[in-house]
Amino acid sequence: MVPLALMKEGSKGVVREIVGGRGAYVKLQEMGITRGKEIKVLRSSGALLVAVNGTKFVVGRGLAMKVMVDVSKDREKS
Amino acid sequence: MKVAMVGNPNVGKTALLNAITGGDFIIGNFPGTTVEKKEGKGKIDGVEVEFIDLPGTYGLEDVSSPDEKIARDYILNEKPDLILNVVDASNLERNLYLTLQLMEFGRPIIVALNLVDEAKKKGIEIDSEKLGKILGMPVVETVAVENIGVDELKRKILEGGKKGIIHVKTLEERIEKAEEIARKVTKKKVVAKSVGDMLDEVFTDKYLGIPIFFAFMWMAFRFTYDVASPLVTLIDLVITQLSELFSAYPVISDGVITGVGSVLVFVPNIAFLFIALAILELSGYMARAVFIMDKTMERFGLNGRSVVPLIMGFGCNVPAIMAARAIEDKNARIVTILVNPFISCSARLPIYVLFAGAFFAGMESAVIMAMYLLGVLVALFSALLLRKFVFKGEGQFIMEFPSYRFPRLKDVWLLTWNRTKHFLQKAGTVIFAMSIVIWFLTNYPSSEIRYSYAGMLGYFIQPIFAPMGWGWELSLALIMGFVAKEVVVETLGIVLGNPAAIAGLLTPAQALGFMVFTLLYMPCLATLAAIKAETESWKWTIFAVSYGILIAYTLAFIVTALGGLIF
Repeated sequence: MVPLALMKEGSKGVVREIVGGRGAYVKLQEMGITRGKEIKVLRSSGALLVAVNGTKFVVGRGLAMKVMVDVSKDREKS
Repeated sequence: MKVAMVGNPNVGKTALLNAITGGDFIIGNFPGTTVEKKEGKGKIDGVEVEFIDLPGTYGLEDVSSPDEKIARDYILNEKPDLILNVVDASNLERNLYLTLQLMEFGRPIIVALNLVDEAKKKGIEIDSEKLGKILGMPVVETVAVENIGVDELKRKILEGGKKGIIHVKTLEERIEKAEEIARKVTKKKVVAKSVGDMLDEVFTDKYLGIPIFFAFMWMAFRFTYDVASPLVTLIDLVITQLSELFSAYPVISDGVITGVGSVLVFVPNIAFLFIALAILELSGYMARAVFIMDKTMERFGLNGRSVVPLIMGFGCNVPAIMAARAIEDKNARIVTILVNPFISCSARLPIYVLFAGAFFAGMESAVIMAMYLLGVLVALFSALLLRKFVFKGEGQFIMEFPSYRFPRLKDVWLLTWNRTKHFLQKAGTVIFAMSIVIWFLTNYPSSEIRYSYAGMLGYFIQPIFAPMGWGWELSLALIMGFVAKEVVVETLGIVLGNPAAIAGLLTPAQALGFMVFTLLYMPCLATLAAIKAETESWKWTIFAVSYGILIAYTLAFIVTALGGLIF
């Protein structure tokens, strides 16, 4: 697993965990960035531009460090 | 009957409110356009219905977010007769999360499945009847901006909605449930890459993104100054004519008309800047700009969200400071507000025009551009300092990209008018009163200005500005400019008879120092009121004033001294 902030442009993964405080967790859940969702990094420069469920989000680097993403090849199975 | 409208940001709640009530509420295409609740009254079949449009919210649990708190408190305390839950059809799963949460309040609900047209374009079709059965409440498909489904929605509103039959308690259960329901009622087709996706690829490109952003900004500024210039000339002409017409009454012609007129001439510039920004905002581009500029802003301790308020500051700092509300992170929000007055608003332009014309003929544009640039630099470095020493802690931000939409004329107008209005109000009240005050101060007890009250005040203050070599006339103009920067030129006009007469009073270096000082010192009264209202703190309001004066004095002194060596 890697933090979303460290993923490369164009790479995909599955959201596994939100680390850090309850505030960030609630916010991300409410916005639809939840466990088991596939997330694609469209751009990474300062903030990240990601797509989840067909919606694009700008995510600040600080918050993106708290989103742990599974980028392993057999991620769909787990 | 009271109906509360609740939904995610940017799903078209306000557009729907306009469609139902025939109202003219401002809509945007930038998450968080509605930052306060808005009320609209309408009659459906003779029944009076009061609609309360709550700020967009993704959920109701995060009370640290002001928007969510407003929405939640309203439902809890006011107990509306009906909740109209506006849902974005192209993003059903996420929107249903909020719907499930709303059900816990035990109020009757109607779901308006809005933006079904945009969903179709994305290949998404939703079985709204099935959705209604699962939820146990009425679901109406709508396209608010085209009035589709609005009549049916009105009928359903009169019927009163239903309480819903699903009850899930925890956040995790709600997420699962929302996913499950969305899966059951959604049919998805694969569609070709949309135009929006293509635009995003270009606008957010690593190399192209920033040049495109600056190109748009450049266009906006050319539009502001070049396209508006005939209107400026026209207003100027009318004011001169009016002033001559009333020349028998100097308090009206030299006081009120000249004073208020000197402010009114900027209205076209301000309005045109806001038209340009409204188009960028309504089209959806502004959200892309937030992403593009984030990296740069982050270096100064801000984030991409601060870009829009900073740009708006070039028009007028008052609406700009209000726009900062959309920044969730409290520290970043306050810093964005506090540094905003350094962004050179259009009211300061006439000062630069006057001084650059009188002292730097042939290089006016360069000097004026330098002022704007200096303002931006001071704003950014002040932000950096504040973030480093006062408002510490890393901000977190996340923002959804809105879809691209073609701006409608009416919406551009509403957005522009709402922002320009502040400026006009200022002209009608503060500037009007000040014009009369200045006229009296300059005409009594002696009509020779140097022996009038204004002259005395100028002489009294002048020693403070002596290091920069500014005489009593300029010192007086600065004091008057506390109220509004437009008043600086106005005062010089009244005191010197003709503002251009300053050419004989200063050296170029002193003039440059004066321009720097007017750029940076003391936000105008209207801006101060906005700072107080938005920071909810006297401490920070006073800080904004004293910090501004300190920076202004220091930099003006340095510029004057250095300039003296160069020129």
